[in-house]
Amino acid sequence: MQVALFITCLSDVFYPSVGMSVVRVLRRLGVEVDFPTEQTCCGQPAFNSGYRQDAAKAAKQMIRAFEGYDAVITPSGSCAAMVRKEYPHLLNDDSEWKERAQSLADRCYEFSEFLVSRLSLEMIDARLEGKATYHHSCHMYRGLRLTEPPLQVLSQVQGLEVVNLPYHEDCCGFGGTFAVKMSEISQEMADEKIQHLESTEADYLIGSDMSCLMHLGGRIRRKEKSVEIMHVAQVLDRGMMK
Amino acid sequence: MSIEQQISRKQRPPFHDRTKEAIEHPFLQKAVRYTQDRLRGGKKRAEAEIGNWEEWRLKAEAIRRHTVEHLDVYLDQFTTNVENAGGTVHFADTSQEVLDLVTQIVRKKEARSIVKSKSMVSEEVDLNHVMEQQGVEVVESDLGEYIVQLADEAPSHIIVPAIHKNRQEITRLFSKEAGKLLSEETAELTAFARKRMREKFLQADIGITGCNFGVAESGSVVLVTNEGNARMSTTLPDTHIVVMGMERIAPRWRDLDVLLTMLTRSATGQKITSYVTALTGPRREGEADGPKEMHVIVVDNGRSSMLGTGYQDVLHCIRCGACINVCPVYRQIGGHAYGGVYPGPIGAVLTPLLEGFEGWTELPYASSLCGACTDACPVRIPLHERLLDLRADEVETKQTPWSERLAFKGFGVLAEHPEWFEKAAVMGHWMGKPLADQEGFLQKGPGPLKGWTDSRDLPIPAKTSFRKWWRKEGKQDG
Amino acid sequence: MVEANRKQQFLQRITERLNRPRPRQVTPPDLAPWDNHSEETKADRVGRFSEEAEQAGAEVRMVRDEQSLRKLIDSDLKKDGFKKVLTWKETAPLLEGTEGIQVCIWEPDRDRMAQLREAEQSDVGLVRAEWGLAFTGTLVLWNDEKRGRGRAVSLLPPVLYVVLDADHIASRMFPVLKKIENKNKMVSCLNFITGPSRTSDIENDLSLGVHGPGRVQIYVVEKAGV
Repeated sequence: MQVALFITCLSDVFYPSVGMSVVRVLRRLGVEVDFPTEQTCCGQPAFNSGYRQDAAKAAKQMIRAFEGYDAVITPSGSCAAMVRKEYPHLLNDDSEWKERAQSLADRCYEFSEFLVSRLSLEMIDARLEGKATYHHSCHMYRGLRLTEPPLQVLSQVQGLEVVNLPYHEDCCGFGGTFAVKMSEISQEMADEKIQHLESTEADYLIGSDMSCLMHLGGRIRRKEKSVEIMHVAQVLDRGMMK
Repeated sequence: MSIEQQISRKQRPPFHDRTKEAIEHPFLQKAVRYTQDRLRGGKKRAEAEIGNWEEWRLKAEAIRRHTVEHLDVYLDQFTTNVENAGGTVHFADTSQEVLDLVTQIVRKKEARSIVKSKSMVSEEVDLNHVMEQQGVEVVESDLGEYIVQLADEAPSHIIVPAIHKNRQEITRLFSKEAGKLLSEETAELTAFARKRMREKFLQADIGITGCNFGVAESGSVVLVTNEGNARMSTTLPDTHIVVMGMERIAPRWRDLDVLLTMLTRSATGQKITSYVTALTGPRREGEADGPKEMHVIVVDNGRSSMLGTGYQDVLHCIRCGACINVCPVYRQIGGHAYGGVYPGPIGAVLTPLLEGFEGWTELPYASSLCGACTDACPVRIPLHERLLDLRADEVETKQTPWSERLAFKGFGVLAEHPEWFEKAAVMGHWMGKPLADQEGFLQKGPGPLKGWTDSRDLPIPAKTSFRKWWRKEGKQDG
Repeated sequence: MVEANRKQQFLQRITERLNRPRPRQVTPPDLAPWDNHSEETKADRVGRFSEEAEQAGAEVRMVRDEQSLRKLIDSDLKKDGFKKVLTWKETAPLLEGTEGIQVCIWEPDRDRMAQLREAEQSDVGLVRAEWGLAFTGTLVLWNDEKRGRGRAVSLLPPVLYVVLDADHIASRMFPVLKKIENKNKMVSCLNFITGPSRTSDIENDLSLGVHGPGRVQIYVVEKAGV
């Protein structure tokens, strides 16, 4: 099976190791991975700020970049939601582009979702010692209704105890430009999330969206707390290497 | 002067000042979080108890959609039936017309005092203050509204108006009113309110209420309360004035069953409130109590501007407050920071639609777009999508700063050019490096990054981006 | 009468905004009953009603017939130490023979303020509910013309006694609403009462009786017969 990696601009620039982990994990599971270099950003920052024309430019670029692949996999629930839920609306006025947008939407998978729905979970042979809790991103949790797949994947990791994060359905306060435009509110939201995180006494905070984790991680670092932040793909990658 | 006192809409401090004050408030967050948790929990239990909650939501949505799509027909039917039952109907396009109509009735009745049962529309038109200026005493009869009124504030939640007040403050307000020191016991405070209000009710010339639903087929005004204050306001005074938003219509009684179920379960998790009262016209022959005259004021005040647009579904709202109770932003800042009559997600959507963007440009951005509101809405209004639409409208009408518009123009260009996109990332790394700490994090970002680094560390772009790694190693490894 | 022009102008704007001619007739969406309770027995409904009403904070007493009802009311009034009871005309016979307690009967023709004051000073109000709703433990009270049913009787006294015929307990609002729908003219005041008057406006602390009665006692009569 040949798939394309949709890295997301955030991981491309700030968290390349997440992309590397995705590539390594998929290859170990027998998936042929390609990275179309024409991809840039899904356009969500512009779209969520109201700049739909600029967002449409990004959307068209992405649609062109991923044409011809059976599956497009991304280590971000939020960017997957943008492609799947918003592209067809965004390009609604142009019937040709709308169709191409829908085609990409139908082929786009979030990383854990792909592992659960297209591969066999039993293939995962990973080990990581410690206690972890999982942060659901809103766009993956409510936007795509993907609540179980990442937890199913993590349940395959030996030695890892995954405990529930209280108020896990609540937003962490990232919210794209919200984190900057409404930074005071965003900070309060992060602090409440971190309180809940601390109540779990977890060693790892695992997520499927580096944007939330960049925000929470940045706040955790500022507060000089010691919780390690990891993407699901990194957990598998690290666990499989051992 | 506290923010609450300034809130009179003319002299509202800027959004960020309001937010800051709310966050710095000594117990606001604690109080709001506690109440949110209670109401959320109640709603969740009520959803589980009813079983097929999603089906109920679909029914409720269908009723509201149909009603608003045929609002002219149903309003015609409703108002005709109110008149047939002996009521008087008035129409008000603007808040000024509402005030004029109420004033006319007050003058005609030579009224000295009014008791009011919680009504958000009357908050829209600032009715209390205007009546008081004319020398008419207005007493809010919902306990929460009474507390807020004694403090000369605005409600900070549509169903829990005094969510932001603690016991000590309430005791202080009531003691001042009582002219003696009351204890902080809930029972004593409530007993004081009951006694004080009883006299007001018995003396009042006019009772003013809102309208939760107007049943078109019978012309009935349906009022929903737990305290019974709407019953008091419509049983004792001789004149009853209903101030209702023009979209508060339910076609038939059977539709009301669905809407009521959704309203109370979504608001507090109750299967039904203590009181649901349906009034059809004034008192009839052989009745000694109930109002002799009933006036129904149907209010537009900006609502019709939503009809026929992408915002029409905002009029489906049944004012349950469920979106407020799940909102993580409201959770941190409470209701007053929103600045308008309606707080939370519904307020962020509704206020700019009712009043225009002037003074309200921040509201559509006061959301992390987490979508909890949309999931909570019992009539399935996609609130976070409407916030996105409002943002797009702001961009289209050039309400956003030019620097931002320029930045997103640049974004659009970069997004179409992968090679430039990559160069920008590399540039970001080298520009960030001298400012970053040893592990590559910025603690104090320049310019627009400040909003981020004020509270969070920010990693600088990696030296080797993913695509660079892919070209050098990643591709071959396969 | 509202000025016809004003109304038409208001409605016309809505019609224009909706961007279509005003329809002559519209059909509301189908609400085919999604929960069918026709298999429920009377005993099921009575049981559910009692459970729900008590959960809402009311007290429920089961009585066999009107005669035992009178006895029970009499003994309850005495046990509670009430001095003054206010009632509707139609429920007044239930208080015949009650000694040592002042019985006030709501009279449509008597002075309104005097009666309201009297209601305010009564210890308990006694009324009869038209219907009970099993799913919510709700009492349905009607006030209408020529009935001598004061609205204040169920509202102003601090305690409310309500008589309910066991045969008049429906599953939920819908079937009762349907009966109302079929009436030619809606009653002037219809009340759905569920438990006592309640508020949680002071720090989420539940408090009863802030405006309406703080105690509601329901007598469900197996065989009604007045």
